[in-house]
Amino acid sequence: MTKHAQRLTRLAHFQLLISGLITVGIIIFVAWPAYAGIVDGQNRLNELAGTIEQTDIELNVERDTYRDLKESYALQAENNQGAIGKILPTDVMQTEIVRIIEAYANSIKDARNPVLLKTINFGKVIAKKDVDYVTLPFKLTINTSKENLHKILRQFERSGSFIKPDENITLRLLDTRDINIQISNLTDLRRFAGEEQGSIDVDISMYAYALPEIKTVK
Amino acid sequence: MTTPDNGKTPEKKPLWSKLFGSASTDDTTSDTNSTLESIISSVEQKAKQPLVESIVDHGIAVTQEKKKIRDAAEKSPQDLLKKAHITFAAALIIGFGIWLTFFTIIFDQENRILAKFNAYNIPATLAIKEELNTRLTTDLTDTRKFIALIKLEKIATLVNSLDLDDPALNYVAPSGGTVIPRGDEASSTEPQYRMISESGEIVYVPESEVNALKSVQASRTSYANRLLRQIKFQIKDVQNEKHLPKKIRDQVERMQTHLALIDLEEPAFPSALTKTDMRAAQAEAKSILIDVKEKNLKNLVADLKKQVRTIDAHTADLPTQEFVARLTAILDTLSVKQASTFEKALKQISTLNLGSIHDSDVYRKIVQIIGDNDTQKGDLAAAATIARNLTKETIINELSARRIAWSPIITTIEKIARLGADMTPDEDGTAIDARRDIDPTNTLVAFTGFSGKADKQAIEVKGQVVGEGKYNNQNFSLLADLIDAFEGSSSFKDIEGSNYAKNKDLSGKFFSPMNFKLMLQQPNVRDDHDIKIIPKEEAVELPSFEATNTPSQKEEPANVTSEPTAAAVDAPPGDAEPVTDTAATEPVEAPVTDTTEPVEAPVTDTTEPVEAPVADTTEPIAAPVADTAAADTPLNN
Repeated sequence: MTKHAQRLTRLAHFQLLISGLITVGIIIFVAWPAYAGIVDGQNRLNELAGTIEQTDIELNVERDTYRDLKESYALQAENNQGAIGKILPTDVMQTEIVRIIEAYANSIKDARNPVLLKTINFGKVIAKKDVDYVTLPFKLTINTSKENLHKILRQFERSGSFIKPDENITLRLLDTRDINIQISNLTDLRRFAGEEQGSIDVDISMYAYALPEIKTVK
Repeated sequence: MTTPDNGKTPEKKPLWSKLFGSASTDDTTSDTNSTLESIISSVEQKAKQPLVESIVDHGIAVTQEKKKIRDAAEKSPQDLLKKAHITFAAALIIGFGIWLTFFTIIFDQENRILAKFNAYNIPATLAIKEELNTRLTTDLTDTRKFIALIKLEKIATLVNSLDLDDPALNYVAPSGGTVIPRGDEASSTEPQYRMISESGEIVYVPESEVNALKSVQASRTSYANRLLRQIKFQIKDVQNEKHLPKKIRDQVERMQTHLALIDLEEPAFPSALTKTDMRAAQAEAKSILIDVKEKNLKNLVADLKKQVRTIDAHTADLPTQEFVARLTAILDTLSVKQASTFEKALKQISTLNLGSIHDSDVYRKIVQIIGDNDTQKGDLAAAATIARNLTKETIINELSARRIAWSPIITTIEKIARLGADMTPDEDGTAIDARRDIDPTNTLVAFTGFSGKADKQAIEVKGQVVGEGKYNNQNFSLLADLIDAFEGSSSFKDIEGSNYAKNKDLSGKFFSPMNFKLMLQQPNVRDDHDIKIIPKEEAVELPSFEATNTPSQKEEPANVTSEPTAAAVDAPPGDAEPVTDTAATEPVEAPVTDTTEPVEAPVTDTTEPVEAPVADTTEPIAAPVADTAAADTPLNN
């Protein structure tokens, strides 16, 4: 065999070897990773699709709850607005205060525990620059028994609470600032102390508040 | 061409040789030799033929065969190379085929490999899906946060709604039997209970009224009990929420701690301690409410902005695009801290023309946000209402916290005058406040006036005292004891009362004017002069206060006498008898049988006829329990 033939034969063998290597290389380094990547990606996609579907279901459930809650929350806010508006009205509503106090005084008085509203004098509305609300000062003069004095004071002290709708509590926020109690007709210590109630004159300086409409920012 | 016929079958060649020819030079050589051998044998056979003809034939045949052999030897490697090329190409084709097969296997649902390949652009799809997943998860978390906060707001509202100072809940029914009033006081023949009011006065209450009040009290107690159980249960539920912010979670923990201390089974519900715990829980609840409401409003605003972002107006007409752009800009101006921004936004939105929106989907989304003026209120209007409420509630809370509750202050003053500052025993069981039970029968001290000033945080107390009973002729000591008792109380401080005077009336009793100025002490702020308060747990361990009948007091009279020395110095000769607690247990005039009776004890004897001495004054605090609570924190209802 000639040298040329031998060279050609070697070249052929080499090409065969390379062909084999290329095929195996393609399978190992290209085809298999590509296949594995594709399969993995597909699995991940399927998994993600499942998660998304699950999240979507959960979200829909929560959104329904959220929507309901939001609606009831808004409704509650709407209802509260009415109560809050009575506690802190936009106008001082002096006449309403008169009605509230007189109605309450009449509701607690009886023969044993009288209440006499002697005077109610309103001052001028005070508006300060550093606060949003305005203050209406007024003075109340009452002649009453000790028991009813405490009832009246407690009523004022408990005013402004809108979360006790079942109770007969004055909604309008009132503030007892100064109080001057004079117990007269005290002829004898024992009389006052135990067996007879003294007549009590009370001067109460009070504040009522109002919050005018929230001003729009210019 | 003839083939040698030597009777042998031709040797079988391997498949490899068939496909590719001789694979080695040795094989080629052996083939050539065998061919030559067959030619020679043929020549020998032909030798019998005429020589020339035979030689010529054989020469030709040899030449032809040699040529064939030479050609075959030259051709064999080239064929091999050609076949190797084919193999190489085949390998490439097979490789490509494998690729193709993979994709075909994976994507060939409908044999549209390319289309499928594009459709399954996996990395891009993955990115999109992951973004979607993140967005959904964020939405879910936000929604859950909002739900948790709303739940908490409801709980805090419930906590605040419980009023343990409610007089109906605190009603103390008179114990003992009823009496039928006689003489002038008999306004009716109905049996009546005789009881002592919270200010120490004797009052008669009809049995029917007592029964009605008891019934109301029972229903209020049951309601409060149920509500507290419900609150405790709901708090546990909300504590499991992962989505509460840390600050609020801490507030809930504190509120829960106070509520956990409340004993729902206690016999005298609500006790003073329960009220103190409830008050502390309510303070936390108020602070939770404001924080939660602010956060909820923030969430609502964020939700509004998110809603407008989801409106896809890019493909819509110009008016729609402009509307959405303006709406976005308006919503961006909202600030939770300023309710006015909501008012401004509402005003601006009212100028927008909703009729310019023709896309129904966009229209629906916008109406959800801003409403349609007539039939539906939008989320923005709700948020504005909540913002408005929040502003007002904050002001209301501030103003309420600043108020002074004068009623409990006056009650506390009267109580201290009768019973001293505190009833808490010392570590060894003895009374810390040696001035306790100053005027338990309410016969020595009379108040004629109170003058409270909120700005000065002070109250002036006027009245007079009489030197009788254990303070027989010791008016100044009585005044001094009162001052010390007020000072020792946690409700008052810096007591002013430096004038002591005494007058004798016609009956020979000594009267002294009383004029004190008391500064109001802030709750939870301790003054150096305050009497030490023993925590409930420790106090429970101590020996029974009333069981000992205060022997320690008897053993330590110095505590009583040492403090009012100044008063004793001013006292006229003969008045300076040492005051001991023994005197307290053996009153001179008042029919007090035992002034050391426990405070909480009910009225023990109401069956006495009206004319009888007031025996039930031995237990003067049959007044509503509210007193005790009020005494704790008379300020800032």
